[in-house]
Order: sequence, then C-alpha cells, then structure tokens
Amino acid sequence: MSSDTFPHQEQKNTGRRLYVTRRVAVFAAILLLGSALSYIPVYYFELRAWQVLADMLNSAGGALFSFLAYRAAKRGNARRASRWILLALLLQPTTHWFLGFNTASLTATSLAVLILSLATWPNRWTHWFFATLGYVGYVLLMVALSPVQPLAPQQIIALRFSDWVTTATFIVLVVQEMIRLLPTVSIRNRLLLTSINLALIPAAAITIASVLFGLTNGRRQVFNHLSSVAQLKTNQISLWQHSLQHELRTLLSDPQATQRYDYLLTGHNQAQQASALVQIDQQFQKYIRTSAYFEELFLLDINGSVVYSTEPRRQGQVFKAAAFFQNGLLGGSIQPPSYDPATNRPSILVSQPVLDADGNTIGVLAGRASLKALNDIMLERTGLSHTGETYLVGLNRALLTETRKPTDLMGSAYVRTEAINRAIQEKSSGSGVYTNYAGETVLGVYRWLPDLQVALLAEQTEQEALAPLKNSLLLQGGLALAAVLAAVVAALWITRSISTPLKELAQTASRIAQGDVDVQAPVRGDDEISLLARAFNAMTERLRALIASLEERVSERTAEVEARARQLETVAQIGNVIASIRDLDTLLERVTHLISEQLGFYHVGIFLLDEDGAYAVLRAANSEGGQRMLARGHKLRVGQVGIVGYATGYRRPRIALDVGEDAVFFDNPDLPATRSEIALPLIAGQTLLGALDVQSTEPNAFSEADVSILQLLADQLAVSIENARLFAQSQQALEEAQRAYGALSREAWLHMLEGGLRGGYHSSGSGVHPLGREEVISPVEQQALQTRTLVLQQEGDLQQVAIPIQVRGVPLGVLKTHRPLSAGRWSQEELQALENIASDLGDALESARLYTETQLRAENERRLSQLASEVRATLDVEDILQTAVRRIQDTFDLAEVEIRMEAPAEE
Amino acid sequence: MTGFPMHRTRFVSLSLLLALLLAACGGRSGANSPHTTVRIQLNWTHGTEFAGYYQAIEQGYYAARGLNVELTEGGLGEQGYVDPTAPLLSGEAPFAVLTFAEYLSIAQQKPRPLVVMGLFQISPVVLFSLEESGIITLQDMRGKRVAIISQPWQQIIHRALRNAGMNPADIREVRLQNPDMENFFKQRVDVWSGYLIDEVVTAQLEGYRLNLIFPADYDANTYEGLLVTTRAYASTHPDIVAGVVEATLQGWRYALEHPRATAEVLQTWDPQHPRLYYELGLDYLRPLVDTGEVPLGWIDYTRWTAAFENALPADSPGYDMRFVEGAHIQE
Repeated sequence: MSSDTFPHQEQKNTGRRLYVTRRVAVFAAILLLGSALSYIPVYYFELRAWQVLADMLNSAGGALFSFLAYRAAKRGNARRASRWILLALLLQPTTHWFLGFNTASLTATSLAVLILSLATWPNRWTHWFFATLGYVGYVLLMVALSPVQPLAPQQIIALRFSDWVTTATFIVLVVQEMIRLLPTVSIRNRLLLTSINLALIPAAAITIASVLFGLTNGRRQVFNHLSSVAQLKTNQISLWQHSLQHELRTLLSDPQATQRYDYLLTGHNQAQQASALVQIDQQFQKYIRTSAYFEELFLLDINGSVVYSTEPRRQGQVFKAAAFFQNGLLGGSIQPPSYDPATNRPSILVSQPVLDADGNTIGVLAGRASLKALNDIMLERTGLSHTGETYLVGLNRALLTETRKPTDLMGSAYVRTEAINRAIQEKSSGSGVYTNYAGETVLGVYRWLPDLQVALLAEQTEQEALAPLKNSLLLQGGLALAAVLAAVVAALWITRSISTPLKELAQTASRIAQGDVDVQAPVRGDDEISLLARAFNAMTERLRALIASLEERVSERTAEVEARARQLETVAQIGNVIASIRDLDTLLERVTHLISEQLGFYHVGIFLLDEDGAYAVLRAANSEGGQRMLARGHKLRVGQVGIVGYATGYRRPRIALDVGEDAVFFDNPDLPATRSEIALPLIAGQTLLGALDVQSTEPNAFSEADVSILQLLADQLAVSIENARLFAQSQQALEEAQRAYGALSREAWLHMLEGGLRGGYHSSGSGVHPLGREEVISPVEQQALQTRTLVLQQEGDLQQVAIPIQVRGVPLGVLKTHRPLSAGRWSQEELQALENIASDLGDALESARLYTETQLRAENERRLSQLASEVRATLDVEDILQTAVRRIQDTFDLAEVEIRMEAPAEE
Repeated sequence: MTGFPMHRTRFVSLSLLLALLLAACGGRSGANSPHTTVRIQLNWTHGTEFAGYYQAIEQGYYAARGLNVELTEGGLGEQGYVDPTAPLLSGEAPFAVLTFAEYLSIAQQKPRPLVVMGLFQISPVVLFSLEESGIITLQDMRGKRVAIISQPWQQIIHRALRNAGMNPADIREVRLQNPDMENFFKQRVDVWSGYLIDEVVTAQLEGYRLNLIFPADYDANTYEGLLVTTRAYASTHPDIVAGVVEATLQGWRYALEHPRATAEVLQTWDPQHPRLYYELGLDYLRPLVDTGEVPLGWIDYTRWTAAFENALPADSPGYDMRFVEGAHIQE
C-alpha cells in the first residue's frame, strides 16, 4: 500500500463505522423505546410495582442515549456516538436489580458490548474490552450488594406483554433490515414485504398481547366472581352452623325443658324421669318432624351415655371419649363431618351443654345434622353459570357434597386436585387454573373452612368461563387478520400503483433502447411517477427530434456520398470510354458529351493550347453555343482571359459563381444560361495541355468535392489527350513506314517481274505450264487486282474466282480458278480457304523474294568484302585505285566506274 | 429489560435445560438400589382388611422404596392357629399386623413392641341381629343368645356391655365350636358377632337385613389393624420402617379411592369370595378407616390410652406416629 492510499482507506473505514453505529443506534433506540412504552399498559393493567416503572425509565433512558448516539454518528462524531451507545448499554444492568439477576442476560449484554465494539469502534477495542469487564464487574457488584428488592419470579410473568412487544419490535426491525439488505428483490416486493412486516408483526403482537390481557382479565373476572360465590356459600354455611347451635340452644333455653333435662339426666326420681322422657321425646320428635336442621337429637348424661335419642338404636350408647361430647361439656361445638358407621353416611355432630337451674353442666344435647343442608347450600346455583359448581371436600379428600358430574357414590369418592391439596395441606384459600375431579380444566377458587375442617371449592370450566372471551378474541383475531389482509391488499394495490408505472417506464425505456423511439410512457395522474413519465416523454421527444434531424443529415450525407459515388462511377466510366478512344477529336467530342450527359452539366468545353501555348483554343463542346464558338474558332489567351485563362495560366482549377466579381464571367452570349462555371487545367505530366470548362445552369453548382472529381476527370482526360496525340503521332509514323516499305516491296517486285520473272503459272489437265508475258490478263483478274478483293464471276457455265495476291497491301498478282456449274457452286469455306491460300502465297512470295534479295545482298557484301580486302591487299595507291575501279565494276556488274582523286577547294 | 428483549425467555430456556439435565441425572438415583426383603406377618388369612398392603405391592409402592414386602398369613390356617406375634417377637418378621387385643397380649414385652400405624379408627368388630329381631341396642340383648366367636371380641363386647351399664352376664353368650353363620340365619342364636367387613357382608350377601350394634358406640372402641414392629428394628432400620409405613398408607389410600380395582386385587389374594363381597367389604371398611377427622393410620393419644383403660404408663404409649406424620407430609 502506498502512503497516499492510507488516509483514503482510513476515511472509508470511518465512514463504514459511522454507518454501522448509526444503524445500531437507531435499532437500539426503537427497540428500547418500544420496550419502555410497553411497560405503560403492564403497569396500569397487570402489575403496579415500582420496579416496572423503574425498568420503564431504564429502557427510556437507554432509548434516549441510543438516539443521542444516532445523532452523534449522523454528525460524523464516531467517538461520541460510541460513548452514548456504551452509556445506553451500561444503563441496562439495572434491570438485574429490578427483575433479579440473570446470567443469560449478563452474558448476552457482555457479548453485545464486544460485538458492537468490533463493529463501531474497532481501533479502540481495548476500551471496549475493559468497558465490558467493568460492566460485568459492575453488574456482579450491584447484584451482590442487592440495593433494591427485585420482583418475585411469579411477578415477572406479568412482564411477558412487554416481552412480546419488544420481541415484535425486534422481529420487525430485523425483518426490515433483512428486506433492506436483500439485493435482488424488486421495489414492489420490497414495499410489499415492508407493508406486510409492518402490519403483520405488530398485528400479531397486538393480538397476542390482547389474548394475554384478555385471558388474564377474563380469568380475573371469573376468579372474582367465583370468589364472591365462595364467599356467599361460606356465609351460608356459617349461618347454617350458627343456626344449628342456635337451634340446640333454643331447645335448651326453655325453663320447663331445663327442668325436664334435669329430671332425665340426674335421674333422682324414676317417675319424674319417665315423665320427662316422654315429654322430651314428644318435644324432640315434633322438632325433628318440623325442623330440617337435625336428623337426630340425643341427650347424653355427664358420663357420655345416651339417655335419650330420637333414634332408638342410639339409646344407651356411650360417647364418653368422643370429641363432640367432650366439647359439648365445655360449652358446645360443631364437629367436622364424620362417618357414622351405622348409617354409613357423613354427618355433623353439634353439641351444647345441658345446664341445670344452677348453671351446672348435667349433660350434653347433641344433634346429628345431615350434610343434606350443606349439600343444598352447595347445590344452590345462584350466581353460577352452566358449568359452575361449588362443593365441599373433607380433610381426607372425600367429597362431602354432590358434584355436577356424579362420582361413584355420594361421599365415597375422593377427589385430589391441585386446589384441594393446597387448601387442605396449607389450610389456605386461593385460586387457580387446574384440572378438576372430572379431568376438566377449570378456573377454581378454594377456601379452607376451619370450623368444619373442610375445603370449599367454587369452580367453572375454563372452556365456559373463557368462551365469551374466546369469541371476542376470535373476533379480535379475525379483525386483526382482516386488517392484515386489508393491509396486504392495500400494500399490493399501492405497490402495484407505484411499481406498474415504473415498470411501464422501464419497458418504455428498454423499447427506446431497442430503437423504438416512437413509444410514449403512459402518464396517469399527477404524482411524482407521472412527473417522471412526463419528463421521460419530453426527453424521448427531444431524442426523436434529434434522431430525425440526424437521419435527415445522414440521408443528406448519404445522398451526397451516393452522388459522389455516382460522379466517381461516371468519372470511371468516362475514363474507360476515353481510354479506348485513340482519335483526339473523337475523344474530345465524346468527353464533352459524356460529361454533360452523365454529370448533368449543360455545357462542357475542352480547350487545348495552341502550338505556341499562348492561347487556349476551344477544340470540342457539346452545347449549341459551344458549337457556335467552335465554328468561330473561339480561343482565350492563357493566363488572361476568363476562368479558362486563369486555369491554364495558373494551372489551378477555378470556380466562378454567379455572384460578386465572378458575375462578369457569365456574359457569354453563346452560353447565356450559365450560372456557375468551373475550369480545370488539363495537365499531363508537366505539360499543360489545355483546360476542361464545365458550366451549369445551377447557381453554386460546384463544391470542393466536385472540383476534386472533375479534376480527376480532367487528369484522366489530359492523359487520354496525351495518349491520343502520341497514338496519332505513332500511327502517322507507322503509316509512313508502311507506306515506305510497301513502295519498296512493290518496286522490288516490279523490278523482279521486269527482270524476267515469269508472268505466272497455269495448272490444268494438261499439267503445269508458265504463263507468258504476252498473255492478256482476264477481266476477272483485272477486277480482283483493282478491287484488291475476291471476285466471283459466272461466265457461261463456269464459275470463276479471282483472288488478289498482296504483299503489304500491294497487289502483286491474281490467283484465278474456275469450275463448271455442274460441279457445284463455290462454298464459303472453299472461298475462304482460297483467300487464305492467296494470302499465304503472298507472304511466301515476299519471304522468297526477301530471301533472294538477302542472298543477293550477301553476295554483294561478300564481293565488297573481297573488294575491300583486295584493295587493302596492296599498299600502292595506284593499285588500290585500279583494283577498286575494276572490282567495283565487276562486283556490282556496273557499266562504268570512276574514281577521281581531287582535293576540295579551300573555303 | 432491555437491549436484549428475550433475556427472560433465554433465562427460562436455560433454566429449563438445566432442570432437564438435573432431572435426567437425578432421576436415576434410588431406583437402582437393591431391594430389601421385608416380611409382614398378617394376623389373619388374606382378606379385605389387608387391601392396602396388596395395593401397595400391586402398585409398586414398596418397590419404589426399595422394598420387597412378603405378606405371611396368620390366624386360623391349614396348620391351625398361627400366632402373628411370635414371628415378630422372634425377629422372623420385622412387622406384624395385629389386632388391639393381640398387641395388648405382647404389650408387656420389654422393650414394648412399637405400633407405627393404626389403620382402623373405628373397630370393625360389630354385633348384629336380624332386622326383624328388634334387637338394636346392647340393652336389647339382655337375655338374648349372643354368639361370640373369638376371645378378643369377647373382651370388647364385655367392655361395651360394661360401659352401657350392663353386666356381661346379662346376655346369654353362646360359644360355638364351628362358627357357622347358619346358626344365626336359622335364628338358633339372636345376635352374631364378627367383623363388619366380613361376617356382616356375608350375611348381607345371603340376603339378610341386619341391625348393627357397634361396641365402638359404647365407648369400647379400639384401634385395629395395627402395624407393629419392634423398637430394636425401628431404631436400626428407621428408613425401612418409614418406607413400609409410607407405602402401606399409599396403598391404603389407593385401595379406598379405587374400590373396584382393589376388589379385583383382593380376589387374586383370596379367590374364595365373589367380587361383590370385597366391594361391599371395602365400602364398609372405608368409614372405619378414613373417618375424615384424622389422617389415615393416625393414633390419637387420648383414645389410645383410653383403650388401655389407663393401664399403660403415660411415658411409654407404645406407639410412634412419626412415620405416619412423615408419610402425610410426603403426600
């Protein structure tokens, strides 16, 4: 890493750290605020404990510090942000004092401190490390000191609502963060997920909280109600107990009765005793019949022996050690329900002391109350719902009264439930949700009745108790669900209304990208997306215009290029044409017409310099005016007159337009339509040949490109003109050479013929024989010689053919033949063959002649050489001269030879 | 509550996990310890009065305490009368189930055998007459033929008679060589004596309607079905004694609360009676054992001493309710 990249990296790290800090801070602030707010309903509806308020303030403080951390991070102060977060975290351990120490919480918070340190302040991790250590120590110290009374574990359950809210907030935040971080999800789905997240999770949390509250409150109501019922029953039982005692006391309080009891129990006088017995019997029997309190009344003497009972079988029984008797002596009692083995039923024994007139205890009056009255009290359904019931359970867990669902035998069934066990074992009262004797979940209130040593149970099945609540919760849940669904539908609709135009816009953009610039983004309404669509459409409008102008320019350029190409093609064609023309006049003539026709100029003229190079003479023109000028012998002075003069004078092309000073060029009466003109010099090599003059009826007809093309043409033309000139010259030279050679050949042949060459040969049936000079040449032959062509002539029944024999265009003789018509006409092939033979014959004759001539020349050379050597063989001047004269005469067969030696006269 | 919203939940989960771990580790203790065989000598042949012992075995209450309890029949068996106190005193059986009278017979042993549980709060000994006889009180029995089968019962009846201001001679006691109830049904005797859960049930099953006269109603109540051990054993094996008492009480509780199931179990121990016999017997037994006033197995000092008619020294009542107390605390 180079030194200058280091600060950049540092800056990047700081930026990321600030970002993470900000996220963490905002996360913590929302979470803690949600937590703090959730304590309000908890405090008001669930648990009015100062610890709840304290923890609420704790969370609120944490939220505030987190917010301050967020603000610091936003302002770019990472260090301050971290400190605030640290403070927010350090505030949290107080929860241990309010809610009791919690290892998991401590561990989790410590880990959080470390993780946060790495994420937000990595360079200062030691600070965080020590901060964590300090935090743990601080918590442990405070827990050890235990400065305040924490909530009891069962009270903490009341905080579950807060837990739910905080958890829901946490989930919402996490899910939101996840949605935010999802890279490939469309905006629509992101919006949708967000809406669902924001609707569903709070709705679920609210529903759960409502259920919890509803259940708690519903139960509390039911418990309150059951407590009232239980209290009512307790009061009734108490009243009944008092009534039992009161009844006995009433029986004893009658002064006459006291006398009777005295007689009966002390038994001083048997007659009185018997009389008392009868009277008491009458009284008690009547009482039993009329009163519902007791099933049996009996009197016991001071020894516990039953001296009288409304039940005969009781007579004589002894209850000296029985509690009811002992307590009866002491002032009266009510015994707990117990079994009478004789009746095999539970009953309650009530006793009162019997006093004599002096107030001495002389016996005990006991009454056996059946449990029917209690049963009636318990079965009295006032204030109870369908499944509501109250019943009594004895110390031994035996059912003492009837239950809603009959058990095996009245009184024989044992019931063991959580509530009964608690009531009996702890001798306490309370309430709870538990399973009853029939296996149903019930809400129950239990009371311990110490007088009777029984437990009173008031119960209602949870199903019935919470049915209205369940309905309301179902309704609530349904509403929540409907609200969530509505939110989802609304979210779908809204996201659709946002995403659809965006998608359409994207599709439009992509179609435009594919080249379809005519598409328009649909515009609906006046929202931001519509504004975007409008702006987009305006942009595409501009784009379209731009593209259209571009296309126009392209087509213009294309047309230009095509025109140029056509011009070039034309130039090439013209070039081809003119390259094939050897004749200069034809060339010039054709060129003017070609240029005019192919390139569309109305006048094309070609000027060539005269021999002096002083004037450019118009040599060819296509237009009528040009023709007139040609006829007039139009010529311009080089370098002086007109643009042709300029072009030839300066060897540069010149364009004249119908404007400004150039306008003077267009006063040519022969070419009045000219609006623009160009003259291009015709230069071949270094030689200026003339100028190409092109005139147009269009003003401003020639561009620089035209100049180039026309110059190209002019150059080609110049070359062609040069070629034509050279060709003409060479042609002329050739003709002259041919002419000269043909004449030589003819002379030689004439010389040979005159020198004795026979007139020809004739071949017939009689064989080959020479033709004499004297033989007259036939008219056919004469005609062939004159026309220098094959002549076919019919003469009588003969078909005569005469073919001239030529050497280098010079007729030297005739080949003549004939055949009778009966032998058939001459075919074209035969005539051609004859012509070829005649031609070959001419060549052969010429070759033979040349050979002969060459031999003669060689002979002459040899003779000359011989002569020269003979001449040089002597060193004598006279000999030389003589030898020379003689040898020359001999050698060349000359009539006379003379060598005269004479010095020339002095000038 | 705070930065970490689920800390309570986490705490609960963690505690739960720990609890499970502890439960998994702790659940094994005790179950693997070898069983101790304990013999309990019964004072009679198998029958309803021992229902709780059978259920304690049946339901595995002894086994759960590492005990393998063997019940040995006593009373009149095929080998003649088996004295249930003998194995106890000899140490053959650390426990014996005795009647009050039987306990009384060994009460003078030094050290005095220890009663650790008294089952019957009301003595099941009953005198009964046919309904049509009109004999409904002890007083009605003056001059009547009363069949008394065993001597312990005779003591109780005499005591009741005395308490009622009568003399045992007031009744015509009939000693039967063969205690066949046909004598009663054929009215050869006017009053029969027996156990409420046995003879009375038998008579009722024969279709007779009876008048019941409980000696207990004449202040002649005694604790019956006493579970007795020796003091030496109680001091050397307190755990076993506690285990036996706890399991037995648990068995009794079960038997009382599930009379039908218990009747079935009883039939397996003593198949000679129909199920109805046991069901009816259990129905009669229940109020005698579980009066609702005191816990099962409880012995009240006043009543206990009264039963001895003040013959026992106050400092050594001969019973120890610690084990019963422990059992009920455990419940």
